[in-house]
Amino acid sequence: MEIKEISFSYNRKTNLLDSVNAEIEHGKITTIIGPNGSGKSTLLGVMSRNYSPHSGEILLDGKAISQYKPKEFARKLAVVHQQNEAPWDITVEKLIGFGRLPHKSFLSQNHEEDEKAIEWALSCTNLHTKRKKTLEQLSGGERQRVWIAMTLAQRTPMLFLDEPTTYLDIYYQIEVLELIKELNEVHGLTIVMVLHDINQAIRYSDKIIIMNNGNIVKSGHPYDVITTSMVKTIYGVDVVIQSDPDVGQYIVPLGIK
Amino acid sequence: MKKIAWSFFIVSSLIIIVFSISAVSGSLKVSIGELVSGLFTGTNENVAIIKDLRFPRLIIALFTGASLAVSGVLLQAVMKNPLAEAGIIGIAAGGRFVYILVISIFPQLFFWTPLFAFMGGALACFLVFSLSWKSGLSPLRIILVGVAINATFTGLGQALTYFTGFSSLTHATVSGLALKTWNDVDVMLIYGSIGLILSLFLASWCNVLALQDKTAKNLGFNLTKVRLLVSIVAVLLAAVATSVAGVIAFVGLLIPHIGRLIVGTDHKVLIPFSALAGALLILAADTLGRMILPPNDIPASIIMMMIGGPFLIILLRKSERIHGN
Repeated sequence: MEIKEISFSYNRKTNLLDSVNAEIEHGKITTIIGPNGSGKSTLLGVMSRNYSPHSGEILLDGKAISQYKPKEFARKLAVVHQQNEAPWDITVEKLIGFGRLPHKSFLSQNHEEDEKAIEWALSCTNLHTKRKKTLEQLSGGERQRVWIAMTLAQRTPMLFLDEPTTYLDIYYQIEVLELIKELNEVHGLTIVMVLHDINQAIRYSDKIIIMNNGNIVKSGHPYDVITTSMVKTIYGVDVVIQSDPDVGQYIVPLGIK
Repeated sequence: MKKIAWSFFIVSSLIIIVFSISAVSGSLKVSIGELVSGLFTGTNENVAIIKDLRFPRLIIALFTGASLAVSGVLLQAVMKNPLAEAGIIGIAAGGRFVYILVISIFPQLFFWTPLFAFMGGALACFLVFSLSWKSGLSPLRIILVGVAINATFTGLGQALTYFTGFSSLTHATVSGLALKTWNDVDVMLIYGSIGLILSLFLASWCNVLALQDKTAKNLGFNLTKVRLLVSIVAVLLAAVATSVAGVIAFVGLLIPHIGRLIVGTDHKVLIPFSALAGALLILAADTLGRMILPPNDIPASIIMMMIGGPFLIILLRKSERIHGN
C-alpha cells in the first residue's frame, strides 16, 4: 500500500494530515505511534476509507482505494476499531458471521466457504468454546478477540487495528499482541496498527511510523527510530533506552522536565 | 429458540381469540357458532351486518397495529434511537398534514390518500435526518428535532382542519377505526402488505445497522443506500396506517421494546414478532374501547395512550437494557 501526499481536515482550515507520504510493506507489522491528536488514528481512518482525503491518493495493489467498490475493498482490508458496539444479546458466532458480509451478495451465497472462514476465525482467536455465548457474557479481553475474529472472517490479506489494547489490562494486552504477531507470522497477514505504548510498539513491530502534528516525523526499524532525542522532541518526555540481550531494546521514562 | 416459538404461538392464538370475541360482541351480538355458519351460508342477517360493518374495522385494526409496530422497529434501527417512532418524530403528523391538504383541495383523489400521507411522512423523515445530521447521527439530536417537526406538522394539520372544516366532511378518515368499509380494507391490504413483506427482506440489514457506522462501512456495507431503503419502508408503513386509521401513538414504541425483551434483538425474529404483537395490541385496544362504555366508542388511539404510558414506565423500570448495547 502506497500513501501519496495525503491531506485531510474536517473543516478545511487546520490540516489533521498534511501531505503525508508512506509505504506499508506487504507481510509486515507496521505500527503508527505519536502523541494524542498527532493524526495517527486519522491516518488509519483515511487508509481504511472511513475518511476521504481532500488531496492525495492511496494505492492498494496499484489501484487507488477510492476506485474500489465497497465490498471489493472489504475483501482486501479489515479494520478493528478501538471501541465497538453490538446488540447485547448477539452470540459470538453471529457477530463473527458479519465478517462474511463482503463475500455475500443477494443472489450468491456460499455457505460452506462462510462456515470454513468462521471456524478458522474461531480457532485463531481461541474462541471455540465461547461460540454460543452472548457478548455480555464475555470478559473485555474475550470481547476484543471476538471483534478481531469478525475481521478475520473477512479473510482479507490486510488487517488494521486502532489501539487494540487500550481498554485491556496487561494480560489481555499481551494476549492480543501475541495474537496479532501470530496472524502475521503464521497466516501472513499484513498488519497496520496504532499503539500508545512505545515498548509494545518496539517489541511487536517490523516498522514504526512516528507522527506529530499531522506529519510523519520518522519511520523505519524500531531500533532506528526510537531514540532518546526523538522521544524528548515528540512527547516531551526524558527517557533512557536500555538493551537486554534477551528482549532487545526498551525505554524507561524518567521525567518531563 | 423454544421461547421464541412459544412467543409466536401465544401471540397468534391471542389474536384469534381476541378477533373472535371482538367479532361477536358489541351492540349487535351473535354466538361464535352463528357467526361461522352465517359466514358460510350467508343467510344470517346479523352476520351479514357484522361482515359489512365490523370485519373491516377488525382487519384494519390488525394491519394498523402491525404496520405501526414494524415501522417503529425499522425507524429505531435506522436512527439508532430507542425513541424513534412515527408518532413521536413527526412522520405520522407530516403524513396527516399533507393528505388533509390534498384531499381538502381534491376530494376525488381519496383512494390515493396513502400516497399523499407517504409523501408527507417522507418529507418529515427527510427533515428529521437532514436537520439532525452533523457528521453522524446523534440519538439525542434526532429526538429533539423530531419533536419539533412533530409539533410543527401537528399544528399545521390542526389549523387546516379548522380552516376547511375537514373533520366534519370526511370524518371517516380522521376518526380512527370506526366506520370503516371494505374499500378501506382494500387500501390497507394493498399498501400495508407491500410494506410488511418488504420489511422482512430488510431484517438482515437492520442487524448490521446495530453496529457502529464505521464497522458497517468496513464490512463493505453501503450505509446511505440501506438507510434510505429502510426509511422508505418505515415511512410507507406509518403513512398507510395513519391515512386509514389516523394517528395512533405508542404502538411503534411499546411493541418493539416488548419484542426485544421477549424474542431478542435479531431483526429476523423481531420484525415478524412485532407485526403480530402490534396487530394484537391495536385489535385489543379497539375491542376494549368498544366494550368499556357501550354504545360509546373510545378510539383505540386514546386507549393506547392510557395503557401505553404507564406500561412503558413499568417496562423501563424493569429493564435497563431494553434498547441498549
